[in-house]
Amino acid sequence: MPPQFAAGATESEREAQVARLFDLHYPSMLRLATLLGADDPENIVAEAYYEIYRKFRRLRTPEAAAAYLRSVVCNLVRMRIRHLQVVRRHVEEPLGTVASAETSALLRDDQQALIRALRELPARQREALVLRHWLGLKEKEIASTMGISVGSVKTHTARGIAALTQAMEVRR
Amino acid sequence: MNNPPDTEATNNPSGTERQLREALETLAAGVHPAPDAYRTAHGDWQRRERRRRLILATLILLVFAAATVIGVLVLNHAPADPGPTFEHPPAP
Repeated sequence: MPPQFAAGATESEREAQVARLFDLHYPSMLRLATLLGADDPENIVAEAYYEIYRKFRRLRTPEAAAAYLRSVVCNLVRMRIRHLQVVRRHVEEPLGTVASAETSALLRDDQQALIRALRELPARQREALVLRHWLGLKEKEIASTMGISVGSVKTHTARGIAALTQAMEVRR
Repeated sequence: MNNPPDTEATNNPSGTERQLREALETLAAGVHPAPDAYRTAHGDWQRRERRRRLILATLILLVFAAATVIGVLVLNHAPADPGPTFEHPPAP
């Protein structure tokens, strides 16, 4: 087993390292949560950082922190969306997302339609597409982030793109 | 900012990929972290960490107390008369 870089870190070292990770990755994690369709990206990312803060001594390398954060953000967004879907079944009024309303003004009509279609996709397909086309991760990295095989990543990506292409063709 | 749609991009998967990248980048560019995000998050972590440790300590205390009470009860119900092992032979 490789040595854990933070195993012997004191409390103040942990605070400093987590603060550094926050400065480095918070904006991109916030954007990732937003693109994945989270209605409260700030809370999701804060929760992900709390996981890092709690398990800091188990981190093997500083690079592992970014991958771990990505993975936690993906899982938390998936759980949050699943929770909202259950809530929506019991509430008459549809729940809109603040983030989507604020940012949709920046998008053209066709981009808005594409983002709407992206949000209609199954969670795994959406995650694979965002990780591939926004973060530019390799299939192996996406597989590691999502906790699935490389073959499954290829399947999710291909199906997602096919569904988006079809949605855009129907729109025309 | 509702411009006409980009028709070329929707005809094939690679066009969709390009259009998706552009849309994601535009959407991401509109997301800005709050200036006091770290302070808020840090306060929340510390509060949660304190609560977690308090709950853990309470659970440990409860388990220890329950084990002690059970031990005392078991000892209290043990037979008081001496067992055969330590029985001394009657004096001649």
